[in-house]
Amino acid sequence: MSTPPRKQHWTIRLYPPAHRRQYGDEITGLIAQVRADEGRRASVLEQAAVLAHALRLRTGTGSAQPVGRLLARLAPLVIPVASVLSLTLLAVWAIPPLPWDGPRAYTPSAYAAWPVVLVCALAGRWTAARIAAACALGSALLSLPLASWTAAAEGQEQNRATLIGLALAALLVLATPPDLPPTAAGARRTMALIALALGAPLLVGSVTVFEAATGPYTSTEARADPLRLLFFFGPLVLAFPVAMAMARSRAGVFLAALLTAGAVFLVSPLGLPVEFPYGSGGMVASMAFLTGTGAMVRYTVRKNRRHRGTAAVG
Amino acid sequence: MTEQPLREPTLLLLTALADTPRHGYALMKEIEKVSRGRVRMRAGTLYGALDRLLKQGLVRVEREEIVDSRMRRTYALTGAGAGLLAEEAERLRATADEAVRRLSVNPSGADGVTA
Repeated sequence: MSTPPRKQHWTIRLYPPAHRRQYGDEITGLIAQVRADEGRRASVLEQAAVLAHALRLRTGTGSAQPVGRLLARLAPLVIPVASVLSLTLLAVWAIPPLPWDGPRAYTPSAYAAWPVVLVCALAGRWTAARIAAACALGSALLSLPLASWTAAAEGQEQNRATLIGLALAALLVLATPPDLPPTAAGARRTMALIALALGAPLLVGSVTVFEAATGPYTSTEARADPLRLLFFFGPLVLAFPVAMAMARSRAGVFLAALLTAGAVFLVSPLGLPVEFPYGSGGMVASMAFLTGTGAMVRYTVRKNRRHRGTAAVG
Repeated sequence: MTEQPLREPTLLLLTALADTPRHGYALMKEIEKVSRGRVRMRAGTLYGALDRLLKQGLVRVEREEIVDSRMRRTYALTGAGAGLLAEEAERLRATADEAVRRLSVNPSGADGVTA
């Protein structure tokens, strides 16, 4: 009992001091035991997991932290959006372009992994979904220089925002705490419904050819831009599930307040110079306002109901 | 306690503690056994989940001891943790019973064949 404590494993030093004090010795002991019982390879895997967890705690995304729990709630919303957008862009890339489309560069390698992420997440295979998300992140980052190499500066300009968005979505999936995977039936149902509600108009709208008037008595074959459709249908489809997800935690309500304030700012004279792609500012602002206020109202109702329940029991 | 079904890692962790208190490594091995080798909870995930469950009052530290010059904690379910696990087990049992009942009404459904 009086033996001086052994030195902690080097990986433990990356933990925040409070966590290191509380669990450092235990985790060091566990790594040593894994090494003794299961060999060096198993112990290296444990060390890698400890490093990842330390990074997670340092960035405030642990499962005991509000941001970590919020990420777990946002993942089922982000995965279907990124996946159906990628699938639509893949479909548009695969079909012959129309003169209406003009010169347009696509980065199919950045889209390919996302449908896999969605399928794995829907099947409840969260580890496989995370591996596919890591591939999606890598390919999005690689596609940035690739787009400018294959289609010059214009190629990068056309794809930059989409690639950064897809990379951020992949990062969110990877940052979701592994002990809070969105594999419950409710989360999978949400993903399936969003994928259907957003995927159908995006995919059908993007590949359907229509006659667009180009002048008096003249028309040409045209197709809708997938991103324009996303900016139109995205806020409509996401308003309700995002409000429900945000209403479940205090961090979410803080985000809802920010969203509402942002929407008010956008419609105020100060926000007028802010430009949204495809002139979608009005739609985005009104849906953001509805989502934010809806989340705050729902949170207040839930809190009051819980208080009443506690009072009744007490 | 909660309106949401428990996520699998939480369910496995609470189940691993249901019969007897366990320390970290024993918990890791027990989770592997309970999940029939399907889930291996790594150290980071395990202590992250334990930290969360301790804060939620579902798990408590049963005892602390020095083993091989290192602090080792043994964890146990609290009353709330046991209650929540019992509720979840009941919910899963009800779903499973209903699935078995429906399959027995239409045995061909098991093969995906409909008349």
